[in-house]
Amino acid sequence: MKNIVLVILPLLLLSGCAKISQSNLYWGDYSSTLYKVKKEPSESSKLEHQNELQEIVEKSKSMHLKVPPGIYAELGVLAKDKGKHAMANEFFKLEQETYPESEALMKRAMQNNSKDKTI
Amino acid sequence: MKLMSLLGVVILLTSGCASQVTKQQAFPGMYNERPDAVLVIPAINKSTAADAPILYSSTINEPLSNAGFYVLPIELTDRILRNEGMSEGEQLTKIPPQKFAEYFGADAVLYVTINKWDTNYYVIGGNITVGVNFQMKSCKTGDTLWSYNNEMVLDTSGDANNGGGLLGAIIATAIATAIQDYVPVARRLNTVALTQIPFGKYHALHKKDGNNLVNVSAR
Repeated sequence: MKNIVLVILPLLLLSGCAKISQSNLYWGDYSSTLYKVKKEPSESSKLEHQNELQEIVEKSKSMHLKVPPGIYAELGVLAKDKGKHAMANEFFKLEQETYPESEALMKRAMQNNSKDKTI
Repeated sequence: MKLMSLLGVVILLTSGCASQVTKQQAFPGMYNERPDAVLVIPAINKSTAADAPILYSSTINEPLSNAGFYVLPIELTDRILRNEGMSEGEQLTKIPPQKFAEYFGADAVLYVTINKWDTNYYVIGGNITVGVNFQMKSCKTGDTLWSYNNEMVLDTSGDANNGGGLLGAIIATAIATAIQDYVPVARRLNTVALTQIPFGKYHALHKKDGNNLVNVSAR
């Protein structure tokens, strides 16, 4: 009986938690939804990727992890593509707050965004 | 070929003989500079597949971030470069890495060259081969801080002994090769490659992996 518990307990623990990388990041299905966008760029593949990005943000927060590099910035690019400039800037700011080393690039993105240039 | 483990990934070191040294010995520049923000420019395509760089671009952010680096958001940097008329990896190799520090705030640039992105058919059997060369260069000095070169082969032969005889085997191979994709092979290659890099500041082993052994090809 004791043996069974010893075997089952870790399995339960494993199934309960999401996969976290050695740099403490949660990626969900990021690479596969992004791949679908590259393979067949369509409204549906982009929406699927956007939903995945949002889920990564929520799950990372709930696990008290940093949102992985680029996730907020990608959400910003998607918002910008839909003409939601204010929302895009919010995401670029979040990327910069999470990773201060992105400052130069995020400033450029926000500048281009306000000038309504294609980013 | 069919005797080999079915659908197994076979790692072939591009050089026949390899020796082991520590990461610190192999890549001292990484330890001196400790780059954090990495710009990944579009892959330089030396394969025959025109879509290889765009498909490859979906595979690198996750493992490079997991290796502890801040990957400058590729969706953004690709667009900015494209707007500057630079969407080809090859053109971008002509720009001194120092420029990318000014423009993007990058500490280092990762140049990826895709040498192979092939499907091969044999009478019975086939494989998918992905060959990639990585060079990480300093945006301060332009020197190469880290490099890695490898080729990975995914055997798609299937089990030729099960049903259908020779014809069945050929059909099975064609199907296996058609549904197989290069991207899982590229992902696997990235994962293997990035165990060899001195880890960046977000990795638990940052600054602690100098004595870890890596393979370097003896040339």
